[in-house]
Amino acid sequence: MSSVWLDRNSSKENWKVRPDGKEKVTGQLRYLTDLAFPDMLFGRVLRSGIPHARIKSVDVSGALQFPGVLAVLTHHDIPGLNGFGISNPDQPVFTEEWVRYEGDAIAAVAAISKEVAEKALELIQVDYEELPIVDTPEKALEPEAPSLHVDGNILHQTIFKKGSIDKGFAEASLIIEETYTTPRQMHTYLETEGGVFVPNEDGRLTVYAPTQHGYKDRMQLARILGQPEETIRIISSPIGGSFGGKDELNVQPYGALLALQCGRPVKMHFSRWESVTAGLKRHPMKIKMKTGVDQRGKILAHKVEILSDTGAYSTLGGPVLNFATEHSVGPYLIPHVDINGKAVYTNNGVSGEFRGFGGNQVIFALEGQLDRIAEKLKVDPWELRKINLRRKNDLGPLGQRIVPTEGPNQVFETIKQSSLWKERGKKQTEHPWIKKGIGLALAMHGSGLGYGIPDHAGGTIRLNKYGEIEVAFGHEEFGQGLLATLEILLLDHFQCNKEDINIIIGDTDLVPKSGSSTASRTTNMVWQALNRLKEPFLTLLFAKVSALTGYEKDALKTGREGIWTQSTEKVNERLVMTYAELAQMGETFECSTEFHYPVTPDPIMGGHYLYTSTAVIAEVEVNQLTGTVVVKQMDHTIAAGPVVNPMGYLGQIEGGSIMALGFTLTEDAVMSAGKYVTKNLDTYLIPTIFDVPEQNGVMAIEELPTDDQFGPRGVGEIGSVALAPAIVAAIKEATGIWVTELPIKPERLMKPFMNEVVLG
Amino acid sequence: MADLLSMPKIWRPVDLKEAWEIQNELGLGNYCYVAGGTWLRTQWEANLCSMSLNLISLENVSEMTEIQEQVSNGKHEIMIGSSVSLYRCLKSTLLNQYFPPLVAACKKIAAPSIRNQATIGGNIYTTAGDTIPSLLIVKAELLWFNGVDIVAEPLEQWLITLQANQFKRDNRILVGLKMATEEDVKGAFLFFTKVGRRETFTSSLVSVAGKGTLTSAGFFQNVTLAAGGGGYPIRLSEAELELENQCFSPTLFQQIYKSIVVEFQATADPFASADYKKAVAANLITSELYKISGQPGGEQRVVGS
Repeated sequence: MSSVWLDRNSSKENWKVRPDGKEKVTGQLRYLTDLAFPDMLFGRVLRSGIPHARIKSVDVSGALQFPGVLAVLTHHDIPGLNGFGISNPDQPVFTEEWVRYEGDAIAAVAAISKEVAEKALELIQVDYEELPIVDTPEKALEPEAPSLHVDGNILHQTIFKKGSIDKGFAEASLIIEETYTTPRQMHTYLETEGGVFVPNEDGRLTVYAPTQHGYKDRMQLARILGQPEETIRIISSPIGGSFGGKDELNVQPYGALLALQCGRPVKMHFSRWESVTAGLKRHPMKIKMKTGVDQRGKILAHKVEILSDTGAYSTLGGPVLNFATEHSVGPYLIPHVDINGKAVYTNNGVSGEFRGFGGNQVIFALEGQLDRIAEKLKVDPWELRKINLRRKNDLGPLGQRIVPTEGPNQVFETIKQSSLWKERGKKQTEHPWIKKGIGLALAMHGSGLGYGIPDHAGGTIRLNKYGEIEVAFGHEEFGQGLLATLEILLLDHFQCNKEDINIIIGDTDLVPKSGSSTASRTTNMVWQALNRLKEPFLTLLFAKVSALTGYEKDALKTGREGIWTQSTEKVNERLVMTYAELAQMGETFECSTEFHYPVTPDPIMGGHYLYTSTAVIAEVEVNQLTGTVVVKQMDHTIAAGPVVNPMGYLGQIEGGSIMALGFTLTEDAVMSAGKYVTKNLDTYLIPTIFDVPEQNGVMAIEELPTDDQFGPRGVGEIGSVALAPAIVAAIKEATGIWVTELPIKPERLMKPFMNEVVLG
Repeated sequence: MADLLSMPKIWRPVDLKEAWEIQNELGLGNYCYVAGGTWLRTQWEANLCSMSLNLISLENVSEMTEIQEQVSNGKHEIMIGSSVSLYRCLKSTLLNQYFPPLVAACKKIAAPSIRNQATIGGNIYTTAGDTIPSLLIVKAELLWFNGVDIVAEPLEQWLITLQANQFKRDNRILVGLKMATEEDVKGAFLFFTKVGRRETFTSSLVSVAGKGTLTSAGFFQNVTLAAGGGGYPIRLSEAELELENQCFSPTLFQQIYKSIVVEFQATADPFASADYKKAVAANLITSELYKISGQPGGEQRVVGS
């Protein structure tokens, strides 16, 4: 156990090239959207293009008569439920009467070519009665606002109270009140949503489409198609990026309905434009925080109002708000807390699950409050955090019991090992208009789905007929490095060769239910599953070998190519039997496990039990001629338990932090009157390599409390949650300007050259 | 099926005369010239213009594919064919030697794969291309084929006429452009700077270019300035006049700043206001001049990037 800056050198023999790496970087890997089948048709969806309307009529006759068109479907053609949504299926597959956003689907077409399908869409006549557009949550909450859903415009509300907020503020000697706004960030995966849908001769349907939870897609599709889940097979990996965005259904209902209607394979693949219009985004939030402290800086009272724009439909807008509510308190001990959150329907694009899951927005606000308080009190902002920081056995943010963690204190201390720490306060730059600053932020982030949400896990291990140790998990590989992590764990457990193992994921016909690959849970789940499976597997394995060879069970161990005798001296170890020989004798077998993600015993809805922590330090240079911000260095320390796969761990934190860089500086899916303005990647700008600092250090703190039973935590999200407030703090130090709105507008930071920059 | 789907016809004339005949036969508004197609594709996708049923490619017209030097009326000139890619411009020895701001501008446009396809002619013809400020400061002339001859027209004049004409194009074919070279002079300076919303592969919010001389006595002479971004690029004539034969002083620079803010007609977009763009253009130019003013009479220098 140690704390090290992760890189090739520090990782030594654990620095493993990922098994899917070469195929990816050479472009050889065939994603599911690259697949083609004989007699394959092409599907397209007609979308409203109007944010709010009542449909008066739909006429598909022109499209149906167009040569090359095989099917045109509307809501009349859905055998089952006309709706989808992981937590609440309120998004219609095809709109019947009400259009609630510009991406609403009216009809779908299958045709012999993409061009014919495109033309057919133009031939569908839809008569709309346009309605007033509700394009902000504030408008949606006005009493006279049109109701977008039967139950009104509030999808979900959260209320959390602790102590007496009035008493807390009354005792405070300083109160800071500020409103923070965050952008509609897009996942921007390289592979847009798509897939191929193949009706089989046996009447089943095979779906080749990326998702983060194959079994959930199967359930949702079965519900739409009105047929048993077992008649659907979901093949869902490899995936060209997801970040939460492909957790929900996207092309699947349309591809499946068209394929079954036509009796032929149907391919669907969103253009980037359609992906922007119909795809999920991070919830834009407006967060008001009022925080009161005593003279030393001890936080006494903290009042939070969160207004979340969930767009036209639910998907996971409710759980995202729960998560934001919980993380509004962060790793700080506050006696008086009052949080009110609202997730509100609008006619904007659908917001949903996205790496960080509502944490990124409120952590930006919370850390901003701490920095503003420190400025007013004239104390070191880092030391102010220390005064308020939770300790190992303190309760969680919502008062729930959590797994004891030293994480916040560990990252607090270790970030001081960054080379930037001793640079704080130095401001020398090449030109007078370049201003330098360094900022810090700290966060604690929950993993798993939280209390009250089914969060099942499981896996299977077997000796297969080819003589391989085979594991099967219902998790997905979307670039995060699951395959590499599994390979490392298996080689560690069984000390065998890579060739002795086989990993199966992403196919509901072949894998057990393992829950979703979300919420930073997968690494922890496969680690726990293998720990549970190892002993029964080895017991069975050694019993069989012992029966066949006469060796004592206790004298056996697994190793390269097969089962070996154990000895204190390596030269005396003997290969008793290869895995292949055992399989050839018909001695295949398997073990399975099912369990639940660790959850707090306290019945607080959505409350998390396992937490990871991070501290971030960032250096910026602000060019006051233009107001542009360049991040020169950003270092993270992460407390998430043992590192299983160093390269994957580093990749997750680097990748997450670059995503956070975009969240902070450039990324916003701008909407105007319910329509996307940024329709493609020429205006929606993610960082390129030129925007990413060369210095991007990641320190992993592996030490856990001695009695911890839960092992390595996932790090899929923690790298993305705390960079924004560190950059904003650095900008403040550089320019004296507090930023409250992301992405940062250069306009706020620019100054006239001669008057202010040079002449001061 | 092809008829039903209205597939466009691609025309590939071998010389300008044939191109002229094809376009006249089709009639204005019924054809579209396509070179790299990198900008047009975005217009088609965004439904800002529909793809014409007749696309004319000039890739086989050899006189449009070269960068050449020539002497005309005793002046040494560089001629760039419209079909020359931005990549070839930025790799050109001649352009690197004589027109480094143009090279700097090309380098800042989009990404390598796009620069391989996009052409200098296309970049100019859009009227919003980032090469234009760098060409305005050297008083580049456009070469047009009018069906009979190739005639020259100052780039600046073309832009002004277009603006007066609501950007309505005529049927002339843009064959290329030419720029007169200049001898190295002590104290000469050139600069080009582009500001986008990220470091690379982004359209400009503002791009500026400048050229002139700072004499050993510290006087600005023969300064040309241009700015683009949002609207169409223009020469900043007022600021140029105010600089002529003037010495650096805070008052002068404050005056220049104000002139640029007034003269530069920027347009707002969803990411930046017009006022911001004006102020950035003024800031960039005055800061470049400020840097230059620290070294009067020095070797020729190129600043900015």
